[in-house]
Amino acid sequence: MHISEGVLSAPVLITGAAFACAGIVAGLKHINNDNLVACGVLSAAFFTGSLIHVPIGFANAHLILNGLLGVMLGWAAFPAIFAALLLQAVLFQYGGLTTLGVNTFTMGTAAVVSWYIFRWLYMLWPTRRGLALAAFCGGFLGVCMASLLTALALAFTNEGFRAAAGALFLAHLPVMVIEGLITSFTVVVIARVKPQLLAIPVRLGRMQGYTA
Amino acid sequence: MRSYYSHMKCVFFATIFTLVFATSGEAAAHRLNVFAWLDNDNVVVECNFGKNRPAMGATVSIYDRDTKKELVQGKTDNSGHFAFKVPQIIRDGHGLSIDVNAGQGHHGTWEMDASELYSAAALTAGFDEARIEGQRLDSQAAGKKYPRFRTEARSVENSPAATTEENIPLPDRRSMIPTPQDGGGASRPDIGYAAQGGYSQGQIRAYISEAVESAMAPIRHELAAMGAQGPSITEIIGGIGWIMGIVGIILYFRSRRSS
Repeated sequence: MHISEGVLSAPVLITGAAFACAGIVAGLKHINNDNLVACGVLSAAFFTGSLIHVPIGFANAHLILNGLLGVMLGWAAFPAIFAALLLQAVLFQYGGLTTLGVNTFTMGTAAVVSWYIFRWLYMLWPTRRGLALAAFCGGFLGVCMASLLTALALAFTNEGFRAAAGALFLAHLPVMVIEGLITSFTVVVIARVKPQLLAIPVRLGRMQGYTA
Repeated sequence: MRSYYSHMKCVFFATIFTLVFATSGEAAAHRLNVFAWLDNDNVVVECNFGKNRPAMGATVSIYDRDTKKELVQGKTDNSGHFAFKVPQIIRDGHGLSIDVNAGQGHHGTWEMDASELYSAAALTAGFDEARIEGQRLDSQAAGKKYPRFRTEARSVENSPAATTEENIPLPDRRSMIPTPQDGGGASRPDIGYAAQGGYSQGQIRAYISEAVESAMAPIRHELAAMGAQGPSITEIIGGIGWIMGIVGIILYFRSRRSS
């Protein structure tokens, strides 16, 4: 999902960087003392998540975790993803510094969209099962949207939108399911143990004997 | 205060968790590694996404580094390799730029200096006529012993490098190490020249450099592969440290502002 240097043309890179800047500015406004530490932890999770290779599938795919970040942080996922992608580009040479804007935009936008979908689904069905399902959809759609947006960025290259979208979608189908499960599990556990870490107010039965 | 400590506990466990998760099993990179090395007078390009994960069917384009002209284009085989003959253009001192596109936004490059390729040029220039005959027989012999690259090399029109052969023997590890049977010039068809009055100085030089070249190929491969390794544990921990450090700095300034 990381687009390397030397693939995209300058107009695509500049457009991506502009959108990413807007997203980061909007995201920074949503960071406060309460979610700052969660932001850092999830940024670290995103940073290392790309090292976990998913062996099932047709191509070389790894975890992305942008859906998890979106569901947990909302708009604040944008700066968290940016920081992690910057470090991945500098330390691992994943993606690249010129494509940082485009990569932040594709993964960050997908994260924010999956947050809105997660919130909407949970509002429709505010139970524990509803939360689990909403979080699954959030994790699933985060990767799904990211592959679509990456294909959109690649639409202006030789590869073309349809070929890129098809290849990316197929390669990431197992990743979508796995990330849906990871997000669902994580969100349900955090909603029970420490609901104030979530970006939306969640009222579920607390664990026995737990006092906040 | 209690909330602060429980926060820190969460941070600690999440960090441990991600570290264990990331380092257990195959911590495979997701970067297209491209490297090329010289194997006799062929340049072999290898593309992978980490250990045992070759980039199959990736488009390889070779450019003249100085004039930016495309010389050869082809696709990698199932082992992620692509081989082509050293283009004649390097006699003019031009380097090569190898450009690989594996689709889905994966792109990598590798540069080769003219000096790196010079020995191959000297080799081919040394005794072209004797070589052409020898090569034909050599490649016939090699075909029996070793599998070949199944690459579809397509030379770009009007390029001086339009000599890409379709079947270049695979530089299998075994074949890279010269054996007494096939190393040096012992199996060469023109060995008869020696009986007829010996080799010229140029021929001897060419034979020696060829033997050295074939001994150098595996070393060149190792050297090139060393530059294309995935992230190490140091870099992973370093990155997490950076993120935690940034969070710490922001928390520090916020706490100063509020107090």
